[in-house]
Amino acid sequence: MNIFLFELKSNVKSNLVWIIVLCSVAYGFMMIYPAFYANSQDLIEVFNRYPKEILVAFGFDIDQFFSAIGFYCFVLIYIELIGSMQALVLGLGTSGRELRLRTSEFIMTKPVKRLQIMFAKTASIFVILLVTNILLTITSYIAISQVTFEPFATQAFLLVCLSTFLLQCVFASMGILLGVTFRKLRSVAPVSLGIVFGFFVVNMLKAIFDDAWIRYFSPFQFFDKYSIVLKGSLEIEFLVWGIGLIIGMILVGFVYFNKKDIHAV
Amino acid sequence: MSIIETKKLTKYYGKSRGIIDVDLKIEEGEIFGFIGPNGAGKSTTIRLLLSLIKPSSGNATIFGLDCQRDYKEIHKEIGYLPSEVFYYDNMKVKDLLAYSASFYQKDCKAKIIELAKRLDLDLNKKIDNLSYGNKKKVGIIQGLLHSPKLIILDEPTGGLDPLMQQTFFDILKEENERGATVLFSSHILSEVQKLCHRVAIIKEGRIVRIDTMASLKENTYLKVSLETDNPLPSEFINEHMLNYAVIDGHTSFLYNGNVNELLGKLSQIKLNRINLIEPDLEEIFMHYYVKE
Repeated sequence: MNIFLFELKSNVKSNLVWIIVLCSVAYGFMMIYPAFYANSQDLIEVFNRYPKEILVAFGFDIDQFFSAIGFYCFVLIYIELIGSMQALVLGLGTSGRELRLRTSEFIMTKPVKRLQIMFAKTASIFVILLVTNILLTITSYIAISQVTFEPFATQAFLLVCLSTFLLQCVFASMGILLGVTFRKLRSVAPVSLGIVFGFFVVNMLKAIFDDAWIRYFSPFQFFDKYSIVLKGSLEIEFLVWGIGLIIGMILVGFVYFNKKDIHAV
Repeated sequence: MSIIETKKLTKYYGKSRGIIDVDLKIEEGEIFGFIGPNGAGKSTTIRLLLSLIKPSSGNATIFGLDCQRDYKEIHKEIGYLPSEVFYYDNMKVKDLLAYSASFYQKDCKAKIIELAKRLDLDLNKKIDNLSYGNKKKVGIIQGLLHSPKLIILDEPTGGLDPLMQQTFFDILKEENERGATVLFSSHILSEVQKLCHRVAIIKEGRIVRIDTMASLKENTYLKVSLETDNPLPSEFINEHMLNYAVIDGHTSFLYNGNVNELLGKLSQIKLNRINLIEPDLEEIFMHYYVKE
């Protein structure tokens, strides 16, 4: 419990900033929606002049773009970009804290099992992500309710929000795994930035080349927002794949950490 | 029951040697010195005992418990001070010590305050702003605050001024009188000499000697230095002379044979000066340190 609280306390300030940024982006972008809606005819004409691939790459879906929830799905691309960064920094920073600060000896000579250390850290990560998503969902719900011109499916909205949470979990568990397997970790932010943008590029390539298999390696596409809104459900195949990856990466991280030699610095 | 016991403890890092077949037995209430040059395997042994690394073969027990399997139990009664201390960012000394204490089911507050007072450490300062020596003091308190039964120190004195070092040694002696066993690793022999009851000498991964301090320092060792006009005849040298060296007419060596025999030999030489003293540990061990 002490490690859990310690990690929570160490992470709380920076994550408050992330939460404020995420909620502001969600709220701010949604406030633009009425203007888009008002000019929808003109915009459709403009959009139609672009090649379809470009629009897909940047996440526009003209059919849905002009409903409030469809517009939210578009905004989510940027929210998820920020959110992935938050989750990866959080996962990597928390599981790699001892590695980065060279305090492994401090914590590992205490009467606590290695798996208990990892379990406490992982729990603190998920609690922070859960709080983040609850606040983001509430903010988004309020924003959409304010600007929508027609009633929207609450269930689809909640599933979209759930998919954002799952995406963050994918990046957080990736961070947990990397944090224990790296031999050296100087600073967290540049590594996280590189990885998230790397996957963002993969995401854009998928949109352009339309190869189905790329989706499995592109976390940003595990949970297709427009399909959730259309069908009112998550795609089971990718839901299983995503959750499997989350559990898999965490388990591998745990096992590795439990066996790893802690070298002198 | 021995407090620490290792049997054929061996660690390889890939192909490079860590330690080979280390057998140690440390009894309750001892202050046990562990000495050897850098890279000899002192830290590797300690890290194996603390389960920070896994052995390639052999095994180690502390308090009769297996170091790899039962490390949680063992760590309840161990205090560890590494040679270099690192701490979390942006914490006050007292917060860090409170975090450290939170791992033990004991009230450690009184001990923290007492130790901080003796070591002259301000608990309200941020650790980031402390000097190297003061960070070391945080490490000392952190290692002792739960009054452990076994204190493991890995080259602990770096950064402490001589006065603080003395205080630190006094504290260790008191902990020892309280009943704590101490494993003290160092490459500074004079430290070990001041403090330890028994020592193990490790060289290139193997224990080369384990003995009591008294027998290591027994009087048969004599440090001899001579000044002569003519070089000494070669038949002067015999197998009782260690570290034999001649520089500019000064001859020096350690002698561990019969003193009368030595005096007999010396009487046949024309000497300008002679100096016979009891050597310190450092000089006795020099020949263990030199690589073959």
